[in-house]
Amino acid sequence: MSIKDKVKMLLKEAELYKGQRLLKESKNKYLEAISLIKTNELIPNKESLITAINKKIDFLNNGIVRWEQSASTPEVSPKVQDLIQKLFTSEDIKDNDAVKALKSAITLAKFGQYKRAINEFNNLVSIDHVSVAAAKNSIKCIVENATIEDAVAQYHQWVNKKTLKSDRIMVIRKYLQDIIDKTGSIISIDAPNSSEQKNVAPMYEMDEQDEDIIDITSIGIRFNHGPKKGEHIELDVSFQAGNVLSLIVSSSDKLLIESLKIGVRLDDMDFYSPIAIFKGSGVVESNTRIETGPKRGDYSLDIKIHSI
Amino acid sequence: MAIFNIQKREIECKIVYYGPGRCGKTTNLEYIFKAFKKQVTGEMVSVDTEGDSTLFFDFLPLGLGKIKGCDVRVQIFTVPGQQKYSSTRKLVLKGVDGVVFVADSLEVRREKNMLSLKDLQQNLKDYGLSISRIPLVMQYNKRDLASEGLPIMSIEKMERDLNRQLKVPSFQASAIKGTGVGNTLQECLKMTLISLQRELKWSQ
Repeated sequence: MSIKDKVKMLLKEAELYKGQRLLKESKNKYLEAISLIKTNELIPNKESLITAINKKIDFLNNGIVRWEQSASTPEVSPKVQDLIQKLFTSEDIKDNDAVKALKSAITLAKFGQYKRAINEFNNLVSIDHVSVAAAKNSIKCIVENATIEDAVAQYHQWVNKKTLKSDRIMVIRKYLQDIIDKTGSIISIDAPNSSEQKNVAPMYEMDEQDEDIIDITSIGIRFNHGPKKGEHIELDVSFQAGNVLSLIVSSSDKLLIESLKIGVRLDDMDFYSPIAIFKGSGVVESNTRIETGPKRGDYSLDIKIHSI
Repeated sequence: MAIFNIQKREIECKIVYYGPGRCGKTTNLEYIFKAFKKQVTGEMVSVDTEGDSTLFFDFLPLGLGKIKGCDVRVQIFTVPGQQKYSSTRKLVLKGVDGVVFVADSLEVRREKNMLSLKDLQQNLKDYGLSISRIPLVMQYNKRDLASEGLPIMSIEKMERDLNRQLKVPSFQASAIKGTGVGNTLQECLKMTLISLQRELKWSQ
């Protein structure tokens, strides 16, 4: 194949890749063609040919830059948003309307449709059993879509309008403050009527998406059945990963170890956090004897928080 | 995960077309929409960008009629193939019952095919699914481009790259012309329904 034919073939390939919208592949073929032209003296009008190819490369470069700079989750039309909610929200038969609405809003947020998601979350903040989850998600979306200052303004709006009960607003304050601290900002949110530490009713059933559970320092378990029936015990949390709490139980407390077998559901639990005590439930996920180290012989337990 | 309504005897399952960007997933669905009018139960929805790439997904609902006494409905999705849409891709894959992996036959897209298959394997794993167990069909698309002078890979090479270990059914295709599109879908539906029948134990 002559050099001229090779160049022709490369240019044709480049055009075909462009037709396939494979812009980088097209650009590479044009570049190959240029380098072939540059190294060959026999090709007439070399300079004008290279100039023409470079124009094509510029056009491709513009397309590549535009593509790379485009948002990965731009806002789409309300009709498409409705479809996203319909197709990607997994509902449970037990869900009430508020939980369904919460899940729908979470779906929108996952697809980056923050503006509508924020509106939908904010409509749910005043509904008691989803208020904390709705407020947390709203804050999360505002931080993603706008600024920390906007999130703080939203928080103050809830405080001023008393949209959330005081114990819930404390949870949201802690949640927001943690986000702020992670960004290295020096903004500090004042606690409204602080020192309100009291027991509260369950707020929201946990699911796998709820990763932002507050820090739990220790737990209380009231046993309603089994060998420890009627007893209330308290244990320190040694490690927390999301909604899974790890605890160490001494090998001497055999009845307790027996009461906390894998799969046992603990319906009456207290979760102690630095800001409040929460009522809730959990499930024993693992119960393993420690084989090495200073705690050898003791048991390591994982309890997954089910509701809080 | 398929939805089985025992009272109504209805099954709804989800097929996802996966593959690298610009491999022809949307073109497959467009052809299915045109060629399988009897089975199509609603509009095809495409959420794409200005540059014509799939942004979130394409969606096409199909109804297969009664199979073993159950009304079978199928939701077909495509994922956005480009790297920057990885989180959306994973969201669309959630609850999948069967997968069509569309590979680009162009030689220059060889690496993208392999990366996309790896990405599929990882995303399935994250959902507790195994690429070697899920109903999966390979489609080697754009075979027609050889006649236009573009270098394409041989089927043997693509099998070696993508299907050496999986050993799943594979089809040559030209989605733009419709060649192989129906066969690919039919095989995937067959495998998916057999798998669901085994899993859900539904019978007449």
